[in-house]
Amino acid sequence: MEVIGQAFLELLSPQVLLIMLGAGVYGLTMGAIPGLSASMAVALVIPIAFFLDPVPALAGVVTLAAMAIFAGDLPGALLRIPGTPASAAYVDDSYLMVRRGQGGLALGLCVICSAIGGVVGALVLMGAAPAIARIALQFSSYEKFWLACLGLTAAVAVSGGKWYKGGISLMLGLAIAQVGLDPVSGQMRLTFGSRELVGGLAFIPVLIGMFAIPEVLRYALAPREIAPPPIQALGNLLAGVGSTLRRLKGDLVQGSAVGVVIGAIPGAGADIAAYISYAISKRFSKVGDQYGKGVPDALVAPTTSNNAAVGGAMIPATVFGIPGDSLTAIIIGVFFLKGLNPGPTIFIENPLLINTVFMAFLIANILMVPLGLFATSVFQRMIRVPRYMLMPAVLAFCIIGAFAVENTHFAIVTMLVLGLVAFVMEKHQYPLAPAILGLVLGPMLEETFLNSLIRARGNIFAFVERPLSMGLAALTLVICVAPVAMFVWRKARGARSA
Amino acid sequence: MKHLSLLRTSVVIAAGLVAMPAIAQQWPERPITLIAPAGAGGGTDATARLLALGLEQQLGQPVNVVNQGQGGGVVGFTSITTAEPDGYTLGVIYNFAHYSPMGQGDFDAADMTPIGQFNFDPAGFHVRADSEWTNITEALDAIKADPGAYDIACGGGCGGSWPLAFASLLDAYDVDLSQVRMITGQGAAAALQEMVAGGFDVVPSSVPEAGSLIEAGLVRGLAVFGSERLAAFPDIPTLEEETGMVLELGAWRGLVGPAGLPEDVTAKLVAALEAVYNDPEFQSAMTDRGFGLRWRDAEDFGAFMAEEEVSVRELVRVLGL
Amino acid sequence: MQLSQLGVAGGFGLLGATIIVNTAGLAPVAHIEFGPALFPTIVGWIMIALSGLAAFDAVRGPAVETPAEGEEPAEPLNWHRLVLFAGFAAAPLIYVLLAPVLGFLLTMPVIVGGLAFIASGKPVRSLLLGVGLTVLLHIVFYQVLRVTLPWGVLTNYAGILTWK
Repeated sequence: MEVIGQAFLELLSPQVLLIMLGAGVYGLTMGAIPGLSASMAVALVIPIAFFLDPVPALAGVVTLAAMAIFAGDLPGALLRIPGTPASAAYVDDSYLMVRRGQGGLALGLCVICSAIGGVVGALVLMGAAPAIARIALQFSSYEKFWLACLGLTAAVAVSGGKWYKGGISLMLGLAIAQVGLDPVSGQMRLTFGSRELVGGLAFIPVLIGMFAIPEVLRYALAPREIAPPPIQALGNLLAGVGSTLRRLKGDLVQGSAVGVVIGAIPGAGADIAAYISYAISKRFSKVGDQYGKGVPDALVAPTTSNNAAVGGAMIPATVFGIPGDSLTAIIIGVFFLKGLNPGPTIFIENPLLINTVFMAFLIANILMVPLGLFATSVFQRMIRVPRYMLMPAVLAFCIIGAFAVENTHFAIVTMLVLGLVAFVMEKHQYPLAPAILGLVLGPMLEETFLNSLIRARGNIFAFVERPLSMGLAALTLVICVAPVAMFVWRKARGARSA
Repeated sequence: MKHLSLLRTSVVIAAGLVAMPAIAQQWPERPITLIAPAGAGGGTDATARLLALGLEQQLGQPVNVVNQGQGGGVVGFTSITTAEPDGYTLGVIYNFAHYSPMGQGDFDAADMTPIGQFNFDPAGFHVRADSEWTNITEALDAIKADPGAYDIACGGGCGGSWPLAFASLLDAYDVDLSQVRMITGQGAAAALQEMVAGGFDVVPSSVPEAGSLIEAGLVRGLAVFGSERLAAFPDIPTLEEETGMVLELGAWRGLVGPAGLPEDVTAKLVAALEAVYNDPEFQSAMTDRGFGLRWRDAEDFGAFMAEEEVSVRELVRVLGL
Repeated sequence: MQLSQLGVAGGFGLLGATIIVNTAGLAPVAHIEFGPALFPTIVGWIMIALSGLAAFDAVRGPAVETPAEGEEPAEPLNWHRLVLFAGFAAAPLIYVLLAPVLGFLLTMPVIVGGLAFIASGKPVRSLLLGVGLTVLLHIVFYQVLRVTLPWGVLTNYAGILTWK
């Protein structure tokens, strides 16, 4: 406890606070631009972190990471273009709420839930990191295979409309992920003799293409100046949030728990956490059939979850040096650079510094409320320029964003082609969220399945031989079978009462 | 808006004024692109950014790191080798000899102008803490007796630095390589975690990557494939101490340009790289992040790459990759 | 019968078949019977099956579709809209073709300004937007974030136009 107090005092220098504030604003800006991922935002400031003292450098980096994940919600809600993959699961809900005039509630929920998720993640990180890390370490490829299967079941939840259209969309996502060198033997797959396709279809350009390009094209077909949603005053942003959250306490708990746990498992990050939370929330919600059409209930769990996952991912990273995703990999790189070597003894050897970093992470998540609300109000004004100016500007950001992550012009072509495909799909009521889910889970599913099978000498039962994998397999099965069983039961009961 | 057009006018005038001398000026007169054939966040990216920082001070022009890690690095290597040899596109490269024999890329050492090697990390032989093997000789004997019985992690792809270092060792120990089970994965950190969870028997990787797990008592390092013990891990013996085999195997990184770099540019680059390498600030930054330092000048580096190309081609053939 | 729904379903069916055919020849991984062909084959077959369902539904469905919720009601197309649509759809491609030659600083104002002009018919505003946004993007991405945007014909001035 004493060390936590000391850690707090370490942060109370003007230099540290100023750097955290700067990093926060920078993170919000980067996260709000589609195509600039949180990992890229952090990678780009490493040269600056190099010159700073350890405390400001590390505090700045964790602040930046926390803000960037939240900021992805902003363009999602206001333009229907998720800023980071982690915001893709619920983009339809937040966007439709804004269009319907419930913008204050939607944006307020995004800010507050992100902050709550982040704070829970930070508290778990400070309190229980070593214990959770030991459990997360026990996930072998068998368990990760089942985890990927569990994630796939979320596809049902994120695809409204006809189920087979959601299925086709999911398959498209899985197929996109298969282009390039295969993950197990490195053979070229679906490259059709193209040099560029050997590198695969990159995630971020595909994401920008599927969400931003159709939006721009829809405008081109109907270039009217529609009245932009009214600007929500700062106070207005919070109206209704309190009562909604009191009603959806369970979703807050669920989102935080799922986020921390999924985040802590190496290889699964904020995006998978958001999808799974969304699916669970939909299953248990009374208004589950309204999900995807813009209900506040749909937002709470996933937006809490993706921010809690950032803290979760830091757990195995700090305790065992095993980063859960590319974002934490870069953060850990800065840790090393500042002489804070991750390891189980990090809490014994360097308690002050590590607790200062965690404390900074906690404060960053609290700081997210004022900064996030401020960013929300600025962003709302920025997109109020006439649409004939906004849309060309959005397209310019898409082009430069796709190029900036991949550093190839081919990424821009990828973005365009997938954008046209997505435009046609949307015109024909094919949901897009399952495709992104397939893209996220495809490589993990395939790699863990084949590598597990090689290790098991082709014995398929190895997938259920370990206690942990058996449990996850059972859970997946229950989730798949339960709706069918419920359906049959209801039918039977209905038949009897008739 | 007024000052915008003013800015444009002044830019045009400024550009016009220096247009002629700009072409005749000496290299470098504009920013340099440093391609890292790896994604942001990995070791190659980190060393490239440290190197860029140093080169910037030496050359007086911005050096921008460009990450091109698609296709396991193939895209980045292709960009480096096919770039205009004018000294404005350089690359930080690592063990690459396997791409071409594996049919993933069509570039080799002859497509590059070597400038210098600045890093070498010896491979480590890592096993679970509760492994029955207490030293490397036991491990090698067991693998030799039944090569198909053990699961060995490649880290990333099986043509990478660590699995090939491991395969070279087995080859030198007369193990039947065609029987050995080498399994791909998502990088060394993921493989080490998988080993702790019970998935692998051996993970060859750099020792600092396994450092935290060794410290936690979950992983043991049986040997390091370098000429001497690592300062940060004095308890891990070298291969030579344990087996008498003199092998130096692992991952290296160096600076290159496309083939056909003008001689005066190469000379300046060699001098700049050497100055960066000898800068104590660069050295301490590398060491702090767990990267080993090793210097090979342009000539030695070129010879080393050509030599490695021959041995790796043979290994890839035997392993059937 | 819904022709365009049928077309999309057919397209996905064709994609599924392409995936199966393209990956059929891949060698299995050492030590087991499966390899990199397994998952694409599964995905391909499921895609064919599901697009079959979609096609069946499209054939059976009413000829006039009910617009989905939240969609703006369809308006008759005119030339202006078609040109605008083509312009937006082609813009990324135009950028990819022009940027390596002309450089970012010259290509982007043409694209952004051009699109804004087609959309609004206001030349001055469009030009200002094109130039202003390009300068802003260049400062943020090239100068601050150090993304290496192409210089094209301006290559020889890159040294002067970059702050150090």
